[in-house]
Amino acid sequence: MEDVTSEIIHDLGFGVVPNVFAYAKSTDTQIALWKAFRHVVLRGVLPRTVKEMMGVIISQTRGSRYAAEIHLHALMVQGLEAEILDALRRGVLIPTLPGRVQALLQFAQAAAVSPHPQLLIGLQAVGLSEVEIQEAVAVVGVFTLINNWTDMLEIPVDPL
Amino acid sequence: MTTRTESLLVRLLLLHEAATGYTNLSFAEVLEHARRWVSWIFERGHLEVIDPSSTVIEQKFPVRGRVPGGYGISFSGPPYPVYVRLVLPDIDDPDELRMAALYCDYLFAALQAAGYREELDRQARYDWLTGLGNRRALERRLKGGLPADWGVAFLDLDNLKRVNDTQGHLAGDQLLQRFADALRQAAFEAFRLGGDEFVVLLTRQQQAALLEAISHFQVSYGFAWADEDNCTNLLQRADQRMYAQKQHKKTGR
Repeated sequence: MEDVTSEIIHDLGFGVVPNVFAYAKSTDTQIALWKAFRHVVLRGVLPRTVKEMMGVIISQTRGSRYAAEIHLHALMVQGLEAEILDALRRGVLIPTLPGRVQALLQFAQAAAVSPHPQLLIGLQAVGLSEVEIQEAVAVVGVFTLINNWTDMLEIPVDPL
Repeated sequence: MTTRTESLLVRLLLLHEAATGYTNLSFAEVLEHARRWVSWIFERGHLEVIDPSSTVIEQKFPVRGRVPGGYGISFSGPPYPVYVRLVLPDIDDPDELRMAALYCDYLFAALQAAGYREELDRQARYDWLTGLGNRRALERRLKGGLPADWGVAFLDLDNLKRVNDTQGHLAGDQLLQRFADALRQAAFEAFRLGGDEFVVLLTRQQQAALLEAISHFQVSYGFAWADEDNCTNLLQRADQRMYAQKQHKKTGR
């Protein structure tokens, strides 16, 4: 448990273990949640910024507060402007974002409620590779998992 | 806020993420990382890594700045010179030009950091004259231990001082390089400790092949094997045996 804790603190750089991981009473569950998040969202081939934006859209669309708030805050800290943050907060897509970013956010919004293979066509159309598309699908999966986990256990949003 | 600004801000965030991702990458990885990220920041852009001696560069491209159809930077190494061109059809747009300059400046700094880090690492591990591993590299290697049937050969060129004194130091350096080449060509794991001293790690079965590889040089040598002592003392044992042989050559006893 100690190793995972220090890994979470080190990799996230928040100085504490966020509630989403801290609430796990089983080491196996905590490791499973952390590794899924770490390998799909923090690492991988898609920009982390875009994956966090996807996370906000997915969580807003599904009505899940925890991940939406946490990742909105992370994006704000990175310097994303208020107008874009507001749009994300409302689950609204901004049509003028770069094409690939736009395609991924559209995909995330649609897949959050109704995942279907047809949704991948939009990602292929903007030239994303197979690896990138698979990662986008995994991002939806991880945030859906986090939404279910935080909503059903009523995990409170960390003080931001 | 204009819609154009929104897009630019997101691209700036992506550029920042790309730049922070350069940390601790090797030189080759920096180029790969830059290639992968370019299409996130410039939708219609791609990166070309060009050999600076190529005819493409003959048009007197600037060291850093606008080039036909994009933006370019010249990197002189280490480890090797490259010309990187960000091919960007929209380069006439001032925003795109500014983004391209930022992207290329970050890339240049990352190439410089990775290049010099690799060069420092190379200098810390390799002997500059022969390209063989140096004393520190040997010590690190021996710390890991040797398998039971392995050992060390301590080799000392007998005539280096005479060559230096009679033919000059350049000839002496060439002798050292030829000797290192002979060891390398015979595929031995070899190190230069300094001066005229070399060490080879080998199995007992490779002993004859080593003597064959160095047969055209005047060399004194001593062997010591892993089943005789620990790795630290092995080197000393081999050195003593080499020295004994050298003395024997001198005195005939």
